[in-house]
Amino acid sequence: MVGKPVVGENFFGRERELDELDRITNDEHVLLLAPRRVGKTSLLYALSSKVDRESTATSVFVSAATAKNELELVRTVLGAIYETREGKRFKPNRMGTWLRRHTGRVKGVKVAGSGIDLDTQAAVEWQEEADRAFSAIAATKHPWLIMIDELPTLVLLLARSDDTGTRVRAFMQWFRNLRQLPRGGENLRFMLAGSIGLDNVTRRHRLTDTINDLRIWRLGPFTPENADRFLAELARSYELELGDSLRRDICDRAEWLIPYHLQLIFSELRDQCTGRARPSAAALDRAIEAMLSRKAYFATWDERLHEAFGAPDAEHARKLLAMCAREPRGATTSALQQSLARSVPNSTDRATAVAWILDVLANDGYLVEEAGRMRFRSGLLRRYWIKR
Amino acid sequence: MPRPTEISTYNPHLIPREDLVAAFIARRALLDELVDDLRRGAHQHHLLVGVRGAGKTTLLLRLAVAIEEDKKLARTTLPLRFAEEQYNVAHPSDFWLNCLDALLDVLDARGDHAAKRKLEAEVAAIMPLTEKERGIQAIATLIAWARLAKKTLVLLVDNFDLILERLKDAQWAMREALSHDNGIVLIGATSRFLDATITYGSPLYDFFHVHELGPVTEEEARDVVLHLAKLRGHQQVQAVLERDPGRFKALYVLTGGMPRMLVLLSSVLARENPSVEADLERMLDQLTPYYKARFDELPAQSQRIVDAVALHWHPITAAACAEQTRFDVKIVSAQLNRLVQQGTLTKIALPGTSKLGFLLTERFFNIWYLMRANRRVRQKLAWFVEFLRTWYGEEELARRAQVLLDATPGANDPARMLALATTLSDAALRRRLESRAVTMLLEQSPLEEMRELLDLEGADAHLVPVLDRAKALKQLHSHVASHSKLARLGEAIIGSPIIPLASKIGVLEALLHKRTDIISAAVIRQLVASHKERREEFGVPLLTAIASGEVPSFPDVTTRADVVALLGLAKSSVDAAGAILTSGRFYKNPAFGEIFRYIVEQGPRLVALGFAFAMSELDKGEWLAARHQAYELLRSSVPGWGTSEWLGLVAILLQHYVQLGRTQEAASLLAEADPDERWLSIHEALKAAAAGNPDLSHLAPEVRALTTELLAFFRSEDASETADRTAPAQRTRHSQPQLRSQPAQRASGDRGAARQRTSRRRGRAATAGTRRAPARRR
Repeated sequence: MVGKPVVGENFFGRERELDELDRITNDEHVLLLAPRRVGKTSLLYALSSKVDRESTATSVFVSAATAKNELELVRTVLGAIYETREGKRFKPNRMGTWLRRHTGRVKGVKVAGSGIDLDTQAAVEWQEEADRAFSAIAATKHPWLIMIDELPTLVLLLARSDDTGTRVRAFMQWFRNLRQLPRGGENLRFMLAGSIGLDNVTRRHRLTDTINDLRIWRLGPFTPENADRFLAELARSYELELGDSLRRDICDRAEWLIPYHLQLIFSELRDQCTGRARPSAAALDRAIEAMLSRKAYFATWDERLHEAFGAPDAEHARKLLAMCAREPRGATTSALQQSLARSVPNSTDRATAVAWILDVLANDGYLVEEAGRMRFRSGLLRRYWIKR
Repeated sequence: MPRPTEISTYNPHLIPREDLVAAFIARRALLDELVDDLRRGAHQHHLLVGVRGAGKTTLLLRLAVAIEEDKKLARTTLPLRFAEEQYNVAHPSDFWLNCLDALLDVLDARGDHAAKRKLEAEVAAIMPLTEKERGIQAIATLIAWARLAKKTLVLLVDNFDLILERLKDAQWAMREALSHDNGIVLIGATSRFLDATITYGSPLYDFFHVHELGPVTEEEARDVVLHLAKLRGHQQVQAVLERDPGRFKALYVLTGGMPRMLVLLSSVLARENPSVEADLERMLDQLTPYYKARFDELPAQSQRIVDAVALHWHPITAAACAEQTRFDVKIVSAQLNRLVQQGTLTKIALPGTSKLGFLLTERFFNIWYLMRANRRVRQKLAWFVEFLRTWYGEEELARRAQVLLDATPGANDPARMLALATTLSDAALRRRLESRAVTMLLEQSPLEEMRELLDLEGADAHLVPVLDRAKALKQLHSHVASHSKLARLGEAIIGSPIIPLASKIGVLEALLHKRTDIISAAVIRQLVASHKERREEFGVPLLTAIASGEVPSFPDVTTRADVVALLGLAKSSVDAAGAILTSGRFYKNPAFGEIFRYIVEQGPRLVALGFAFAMSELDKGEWLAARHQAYELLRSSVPGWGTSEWLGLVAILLQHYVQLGRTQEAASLLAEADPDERWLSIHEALKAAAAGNPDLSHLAPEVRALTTELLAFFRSEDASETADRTAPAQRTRHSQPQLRSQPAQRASGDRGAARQRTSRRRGRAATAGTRRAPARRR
């Protein structure tokens, strides 16, 4: 499965992470961080299934990506709670009435700019009533695991809708308070995740104090052993003969062992093995070449630098990327600093520029930070970068 | 016999189901992969990315058929087809309602009216809701139906980019709807990489399994062509593929390996050569509305960029494109990249540089553009040139050129001839074809139009002398035509190969004004009488070409191309070459030295002629001219000739010097022309002859033997008899017309002597030839 979150039997190789998260969320709220395509959403789905299956809690999974304002998020979360067996009892009248009342009120508020300009009085009112709804849920002494994916998207939307930062702070503070409910708070566990790191977003908007109760937990690539098992399982599933050394070769080519990249290479290798052709090192070479030949795709990454940085930083970014491309494991920050020494002689300016460029390159999916080094997310992109 | 299948190239949805299955060949592996994926129930979303004509729509349609015809798969999976472009989508709910509509169509087609009515009622209930609720409920209805029916709904969405563009603010919702295991699989097709799928911050980043539908491989293309030929009943195509693999390669290049173009163009393989071009033109004509619409779709700035790229044909850099369009290079780069993303252009690395070049992805589109873009003949036919280059090999192009040249002038389209000329690597052949075309153009077009049709200050500048000559001759023809009494004589003068153009003008002027003081009646009689003789001697094609100005008269020859053209047209190249040399000397052609060289470059027989001519110069006492010619000959080379091949001719020439008492000059000439002493024995023999000392004992035995023989040959009293052993006779009998205005008397007298000598030689050649010549040795 490429791209789409996997569930059930398709979820693979994250057993250790799943157990660990399950254990942590017993006691703590968690902020799940990982670059895109590592498998966050699939892990959240798996955790949801696990806690439901083992009846350790009632899980609720929502995405904040489509919410245009605070109220829509609250509504989505409460609506999802209502959909569960445990949550049904909160619904018929009180929840429904509350939702209807506030939905109507929000509709009456005028739209301004990119967000909905809630009037203060209304905002305060929904916060209070939302608190009451969640307090009631918490008070049942039934454990809940509420997983909210893509929360940073809403946070950014709120931040953009109000230059003063008051609105986004109010929301984040309210949400923190919700996680700290004095009574029954131990029954509500939140797991927050998103494609954009919430830590970065809150840092940018000086809101880190509003998430300091969250346990940061990072999801990395597969271990080599899991990657190997993953490939073996894929091969079995597709009835493709994939020997040990070929599996190792695939991992070497992928470099960063996330399921997405392994699947892509596997899929391309499978394409090379039509008819009587069997998987081999030569077929893998052809597969990699075929992937690298999609120049339009890779060229976009190169061209996008100009849009993201403009001159002269686009050239600086290219230098940094060239440095990172030298080795599969990437380059240290100090080495990267050195690579710009000639272009930006002043060391303070250089440090600022490098930090900013690396931040953007990581946010835009070129690089990931791993073991103190910045490396290419994709081994293929790195190879393309070397060849270009 | 099966009925020939008609393949609709632009509306695959109109292809009957059985024809779609029968004709589907190009993307079979990908089809199998997609079907296999659905069989596994992985619910993977796919995105097919390929330029127009890559086969996306056909693949989606064929996938639907594959699902429906696979009994097991059809039990669990239901394909939903949509209009090729869903222009009615403005909000997320529109898209999901279109899905419900497609589902209703399926139910209707299956005659499941109860289910259809039920679903219609549900849809009707959704319609009054707010946009957001309508979207949510539409998805929910779709999912609920899928769950109830225990089927996976496969949304086959063509032009998915159009949907995403219109729903760009709702992509998170789209992602969310497609992220769940809810029985919905989307297989979309787009003509370009979607930013939404490759931008890291986008909701759909890396969300689809992307399949790039690039050009099919040559092998796949061959399969497609053969398969189509079979369906269409074109049995001869297989024979063409086997007999002429280059023709298939050309087809592949022209189509860019794109299935649509393969389908469209493969029928030309079934045609014989002459109709290929006609077919091509017909197709270009048919494609005009389609290509025009594609071009018109582009914004004005993009049109200018595409214009520059298309006119360039070969990959163009951003800088060159900026120069052509006079846009800022940054604007051009941005536009080029956008056009690449749209699939209109392709970006490739230019060999040997770090630069990128851009070209129109669809080469046939480029050909179409070239066809329409220019007024100037050459540029206007640039498309035809590129087609010819691609379609025919070098040999075939040369053969076709020769066929055109051999045909009666006027029987062909001069513009096509110019186009064909551009493709020829043989410079002489190219020049002949161009000259023929120019003279034909002049016949057909008013003079003022010629300047527009040809780029006489640029690419066609070398045709100016041809045009001037043809213009002058055209005027002469028209003067003559208006004086019926002069017709025969006038045409004889105009078509004469041995009168220079200036003289033709002067003589005709005199005739028209009855200036008997300038041209005598005797000369007029001689001119008329000789015309028939010339025609027999050189052939009608040469005289016709001279009369039209396609080639110059012999005395006006100045270039290698002139020489090659005249020799090519003449009945006998040796006769023509002899006449060129004789008239060149007679009229004191300033380029005579070069002309002599050009002639002897044309092969062994003309080298021999050169030797004979040089000897006749010696006979006439033209020492300096003879020396120049001898020097040229001794310095020239003939492919495949070694020392032994040259030896006889060189020996005969130098013996002539010796016999004329100019042994010392012969020795110095040889020393100058052969500093490497290729012909060591001749050097030694000449030295011995000059010194009058036959003692050769100082020489090594292997040199001595030949030197002795050569020395004997140089001293032989009747050596001149051997001169014709290898050299064909010089045809000096082409005496010049004795015009009173020219110094004919002296030349005539000289030539008379030479003529006598030459005919004497010719008479003896057969009997006295090899007997007396020194043996050739390596």
